[in-house]
Amino acid sequence: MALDPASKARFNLSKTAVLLLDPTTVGLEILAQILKGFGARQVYRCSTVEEAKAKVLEHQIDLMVIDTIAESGEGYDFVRWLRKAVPEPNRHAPVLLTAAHTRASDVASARDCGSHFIVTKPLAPIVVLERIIWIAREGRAFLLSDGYIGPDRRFVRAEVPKDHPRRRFDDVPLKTETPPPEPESGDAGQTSFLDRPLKAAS
Amino acid sequence: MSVTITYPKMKLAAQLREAGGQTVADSLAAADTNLEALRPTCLDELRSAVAAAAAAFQRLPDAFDAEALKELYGIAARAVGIGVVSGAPGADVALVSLCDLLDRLANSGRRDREAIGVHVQTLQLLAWQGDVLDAAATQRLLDGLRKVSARYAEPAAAAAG
Repeated sequence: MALDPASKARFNLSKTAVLLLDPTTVGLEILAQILKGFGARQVYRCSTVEEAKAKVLEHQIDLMVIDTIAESGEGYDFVRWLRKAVPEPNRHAPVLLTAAHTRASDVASARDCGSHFIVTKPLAPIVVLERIIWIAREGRAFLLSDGYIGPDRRFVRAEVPKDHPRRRFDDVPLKTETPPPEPESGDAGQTSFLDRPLKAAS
Repeated sequence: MSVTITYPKMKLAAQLREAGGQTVADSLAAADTNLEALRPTCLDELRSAVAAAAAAFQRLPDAFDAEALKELYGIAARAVGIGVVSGAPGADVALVSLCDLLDRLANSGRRDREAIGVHVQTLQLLAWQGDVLDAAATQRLLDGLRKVSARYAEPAAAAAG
């Protein structure tokens, strides 16, 4: 079920520190106004990767909305840097990538840089909100390997027979540091809103 | 290859569930209102970007020039997303089509001044006179652009002409 635009379900972004990276002033303003409409109050606006890196090292960030910066691909590099070089908790911060366009040569970067989701521009507020809620609800595992650092990208975890010859090693998590997060308590309506399945709109 | 799996606690999930906040409906309405206030600014920005694209197009050399294509690509890519806020959503479609075309031309080492030119001219039309075009006319223009950029989608198809 896609997010109902008339829904009276509540969510709270008022205490969420949001980092925005977009190379254009107007792009930043569009993002900021969408987040402001959602109730976000603590928004760090960055127009360069250098500014964004400085903010990440200085503040705890709860959500990042990062433009890929199509002509240079610096947005992908930023997310790779975040996943590899930044201490916790920002290292694991949710990242929503926004893309004006994805060059053919950047398709692999878009998939492998370590973001939680990629949204294509132009941005529709309902799509941005759906993705934020999706990211928060999924509570994805993080994978750390030689070739990839980032959230588990599998959307379907189908049951695999025990005697299947090609079971994934992590079908039974062996090296977990902490168990998967349990839903936080809130009022019943909010919890059910955030925990029920959500199908993203196209 | 070693792989470690962790389950980091996501603060965002807890924050979203905190008491208070606002409804989805109110949030989307507020976001739309905020974006509506940006419309004049975005229209100015869109027109500036299209003017810059037209100037870059005029500067394109006769021979294939990767840097010149890259400059035009950057102008177009940075403008994607402004159109819908400025009331000219077709401009975003045209900009993405132009980005597709420029990326494909750059990757194939080909030049097609006419294909780029028709994108720039359509953008000028949409940015300055988009409000006088009906939806069907706009759609026909955009379908035409997509066909132009699609000609270079596959190297084999492009080589075939």
